Amino acid sequence: MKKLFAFFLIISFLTGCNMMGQGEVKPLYIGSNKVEDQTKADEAKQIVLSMDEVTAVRGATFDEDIYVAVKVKQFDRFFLDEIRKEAYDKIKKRYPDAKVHVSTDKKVLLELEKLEIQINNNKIKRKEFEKQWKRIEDFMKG
Amino acid sequence: MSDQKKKNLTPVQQEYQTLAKKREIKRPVLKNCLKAFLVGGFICFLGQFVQTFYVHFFEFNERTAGNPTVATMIFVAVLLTGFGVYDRLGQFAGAGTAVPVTGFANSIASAAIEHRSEGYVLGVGGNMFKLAGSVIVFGTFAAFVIAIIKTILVGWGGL
Repeated sequence: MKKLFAFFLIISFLTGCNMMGQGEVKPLYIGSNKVEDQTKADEAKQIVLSMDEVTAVRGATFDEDIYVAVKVKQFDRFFLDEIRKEAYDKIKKRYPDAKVHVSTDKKVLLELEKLEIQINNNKIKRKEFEKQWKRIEDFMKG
Repeated sequence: MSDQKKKNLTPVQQEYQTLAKKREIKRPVLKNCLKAFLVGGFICFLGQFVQTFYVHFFEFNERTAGNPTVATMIFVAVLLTGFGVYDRLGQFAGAGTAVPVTGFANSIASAAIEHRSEGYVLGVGGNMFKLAGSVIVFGTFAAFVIAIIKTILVGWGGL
């Protein structure tokens, strides 16, 4: 029994340490020659990723709206509210006229990732894009 | 035994008490804590797994996925209680299985099973919340107290 506990303890410590070493994921920069111009989203991603707490970022633009979803480091998840606000302020400073939404929700991150890939591969029509956009907005409201 | 009672004992009885205390098997508090920590953590890990599942494959975001997750965990815990698996787990891990939401489900289901022979209305219906009732009462009361503290802090302290 004692050996079993020691084993579990060691395993939990080891996995805990390995999680710390995860590197940052490179964001997908889409550019302007797609269904919708994504340069705003690209720049927003760059701005947000420069924050220390953020490890991954997904985002897209539709008309004047910029939606960004971020993945936050484990410990910094205690300050999600402040991180959201900081990211929002930074993007808003760059694009004062745009409607900006920043989310830390995993579902939004997943959906934006799917959308990004679809945009990048030109697999999405404008009408479908609008439908997806409404859906993602609903997820952000929570 | 309380100090008040100890005074009323004869010297021989007192001697016996000290002897019995010496021979008593010590409660392995640290080991129990470790067991509770690991098993309780594992249950929460399963809950997290279910939540991630709902986020990935259904139309839930992180916040709304909590409801179906709790429902699933309760359903699984009630099933396991019915099969007699959860009792053994509870015996092994103690508070580790009682504190998560599965422990609440277990306390309701096991009470319902236990009192089935007394009839459905007075037996099952009357005794179902015997154990879980305290959770509801103190949970509601604690929420009330904390809400008052928060109201005071936010309203008057300006936090």
